Amino acid sequence: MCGIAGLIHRGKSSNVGQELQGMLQALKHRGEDSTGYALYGNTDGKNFIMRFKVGENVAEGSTSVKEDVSVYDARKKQVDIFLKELGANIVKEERILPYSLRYEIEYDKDLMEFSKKIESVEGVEILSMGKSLEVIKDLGNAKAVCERYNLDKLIGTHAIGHARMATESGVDIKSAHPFWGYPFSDVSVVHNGQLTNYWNNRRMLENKGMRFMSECDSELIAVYLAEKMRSGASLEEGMKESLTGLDGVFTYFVATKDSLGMAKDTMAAKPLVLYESDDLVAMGSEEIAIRSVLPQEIDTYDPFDGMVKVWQI
Amino acid sequence: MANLKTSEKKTKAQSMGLHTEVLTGKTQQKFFNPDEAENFFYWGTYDVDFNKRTDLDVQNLDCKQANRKIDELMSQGYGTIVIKNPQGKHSLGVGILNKLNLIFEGSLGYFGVGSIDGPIVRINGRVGWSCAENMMAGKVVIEKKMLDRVLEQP
Repeated sequence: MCGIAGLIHRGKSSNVGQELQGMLQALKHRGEDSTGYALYGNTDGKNFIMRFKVGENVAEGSTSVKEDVSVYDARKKQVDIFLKELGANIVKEERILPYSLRYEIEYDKDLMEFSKKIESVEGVEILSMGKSLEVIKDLGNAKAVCERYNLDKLIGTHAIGHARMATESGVDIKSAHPFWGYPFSDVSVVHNGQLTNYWNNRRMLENKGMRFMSECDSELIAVYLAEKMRSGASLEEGMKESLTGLDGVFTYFVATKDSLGMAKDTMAAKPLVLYESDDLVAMGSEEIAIRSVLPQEIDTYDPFDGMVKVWQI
Repeated sequence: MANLKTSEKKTKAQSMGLHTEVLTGKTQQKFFNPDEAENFFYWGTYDVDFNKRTDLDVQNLDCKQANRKIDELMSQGYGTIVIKNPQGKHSLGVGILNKLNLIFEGSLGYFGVGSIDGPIVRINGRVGWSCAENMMAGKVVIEKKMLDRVLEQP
């Protein structure tokens, strides 16, 4: 049982960091192992924003092994060297936590090659890569993560988030949602449910050259959609195909640079409540999440089974 | 058991005392008498007046506080309670074993008005999973349909 939430402002920007924090905090009873945000901020669109981690959060409840901070430093240095080799120029560098970093970089070549090289450093994982996307995920509930990373001032157009109760894999950052749609810039996925044909699909996708960083079944959705888009399908077509291609129960959101989509499996076992208006679409696992953004009386509805919908900003 | 062989009783069962229990009478015990009006109410319920009406804003209350507040209002004799701003909260209005006219001006979350016996509930919105679960008596009206808007679409 996880909780997912997403919102998209059409034609205007808002404080999405704060709004999503409220939505996810309202869903915290659905899971507090970890919380993740995928925020699409307002940027000039010139530089890539790369969020990556050089180690795991080893706080209480974590399933990862404790490492020394000096290991993190060594990995960071290695990443810097690789960036130079790739011809990427670091414009801005922030080390938010010892294991979590945010770089703004100038780069204009192939992202697949780029991420393969960076992630060849042991323990390093790119959480997100995009011109407006920033994926932040860590252990703890929505409020704790928001405070740790100072997200409440992020202005943007849309965002998706996830409150996780770990059922299929460990409690660590690498299994936390949202997942970046490697190797596409600005694609992220959150998922509520369980996938049952994970290994079959994973084997097939790995043979096609896609990469899996964790053993979390939800990562499959991100990789699956990325592969569909790489072979020429649009986001909506890829999502429609996923209804039959993926097996199990799922409700998931996908966000790209300028759109937000939802899909619900044909059994409709996982809940979703939707609110749609001309300037705002908000959705979440429970109505209580939507109410944290829209306290007034509104009309909400549950999407049908097998429904796929995409909104543009 | 030790003196079974020397017992004077006819059978072993009799000597073990299995025939001495009186089985009659229990079935004739009266637990409920429909003529007595007091049997229609649970012990500890309140005498409420449907014409006494009040509002309760639950925006800043959690479900336990809100449910306790409803109980408190009933103990003061309010028979019509209007809940404002339920905002999809879970477990509102559960365990009411009283006659009561309860109106929710908004939507409920999961497990709304569960385990009730008696109240007349009107919800001017939608509900989540398991509404009015284990309801024994009373009436629950949910005004908005879940799929209204979806059905309009082609």
